[in-house]
Amino acid sequence: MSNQIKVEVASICQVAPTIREFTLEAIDDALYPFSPGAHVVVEMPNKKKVYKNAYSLLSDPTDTQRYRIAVRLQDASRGGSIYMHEQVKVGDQLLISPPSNLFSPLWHAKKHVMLAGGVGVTPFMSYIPEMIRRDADFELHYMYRSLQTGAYKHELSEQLGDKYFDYDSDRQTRCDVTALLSQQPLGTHIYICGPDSLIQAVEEAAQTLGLPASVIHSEEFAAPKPGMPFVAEIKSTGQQVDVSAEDSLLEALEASDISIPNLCRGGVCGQCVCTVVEGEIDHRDQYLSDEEKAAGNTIMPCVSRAAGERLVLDI
Amino acid sequence: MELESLSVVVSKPMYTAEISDGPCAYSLFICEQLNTAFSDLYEASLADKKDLIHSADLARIEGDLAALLANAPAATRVYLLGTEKYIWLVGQQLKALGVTEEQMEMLPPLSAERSVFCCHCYQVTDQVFTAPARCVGCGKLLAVTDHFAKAHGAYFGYQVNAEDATDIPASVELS
Ligand code: FES
Repeated sequence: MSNQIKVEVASICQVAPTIREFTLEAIDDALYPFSPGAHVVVEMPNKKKVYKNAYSLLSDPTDTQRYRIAVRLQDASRGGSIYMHEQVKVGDQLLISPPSNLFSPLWHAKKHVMLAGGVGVTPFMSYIPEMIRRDADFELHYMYRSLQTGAYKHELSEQLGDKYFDYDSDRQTRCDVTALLSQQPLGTHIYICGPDSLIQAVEEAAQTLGLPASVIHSEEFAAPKPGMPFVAEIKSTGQQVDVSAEDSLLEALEASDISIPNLCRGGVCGQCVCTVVEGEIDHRDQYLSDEEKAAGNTIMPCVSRAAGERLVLDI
Repeated sequence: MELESLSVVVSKPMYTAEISDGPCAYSLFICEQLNTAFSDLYEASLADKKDLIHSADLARIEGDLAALLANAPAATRVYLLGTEKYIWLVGQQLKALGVTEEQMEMLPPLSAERSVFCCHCYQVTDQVFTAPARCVGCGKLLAVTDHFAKAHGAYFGYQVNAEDATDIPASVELS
């Protein structure tokens, strides 16, 4: 991609037991300002293969000198987060995509309630300065496990005062999502960033209480999880592409010089959609509707895989 | 050609008499005219708190809504009954107070009458039962489309005989 931006790693700091923050500085020109909730895709040129992962920007959106991202070392890392934690050093240069945003706040909301789970606090780090500038009514509810995550909790608590609520499940404090939602006034929008279990719990509570689905917003970049190896066949050329257990279908296609438009590489944006003409799909994205998934003729290759040994793609 | 492409814009709202009475903490009933079905609906509501506004006066409703919804919970549901223009104009007021369209249950309008927005003089002509309709603002004879504007609670209308003012199409009843 030609529109990538070259940045230098200006500093690295450990912000929680499993989370490292990277400050990326502009080399040539100033960086783009971005909108709160935006992310960049960072390219990691490992020896064996190039990893590309999306990370939310957590710096102030108006700061065009530097971007900050935070990377959690994933238990089942396919290498992306291990690479960031173990290989990247201060002074290294990295290529990143321009920011794009799939998780922007709705400014017409009367009140904003942010629910963060672990490293999911990152997009809200860029919401908060803008919320303060706009004098918006907001609250941050931060759920983490202090033995692993909980980055920025002290500074957030100090900065936000009574707008800040925290829940440490390693110390047995838990958030009662139903109680929290039932206290919210009309016109509140809810933003969730965290594990799928948190997103589901909030969606279920909202439905039980009678909150409209259109006020609930969530983002979860599902880092592509490994699976069984399979073969993808390209219908137009008959080409066979081997997808190893560790690679995503998108990565395997790219390695064979088949480029597919993509943006988030995490099953959220919908850019990479491909038509499947044969083979069962193991859907792992947040983009397709349940109906589309059941129909079984579209796949998001950045995260989803074949359920069997072979898939035929209409490209 | 142009006329055809205009008339294919169909955004006429669909209403169903089947009202979803999902869970909510507060339910608000607003009607232009009160009928038994609507008051039964109000009586049957199981919400912790409920109110009924019966008024055709939009300015008065605006004041009532501001007071009633100031401390309303996120799980609020609003039921609307009246002419089509009424329910959508009240809907606009509700929207400004943070009520989403999903939270508004609009019952089928009380009559088939339409309000028509004239694209020449921007006036809205109410109580239109047949098309073409005479604009109350500029007097032009308007074709009445199915292109509905939620913000006005009215249908888009344009002069039906701009080429030849003596050409007066047969009148048809609107549904
Ligand atoms: S790249 Fe965004 S859904 Fe696949």
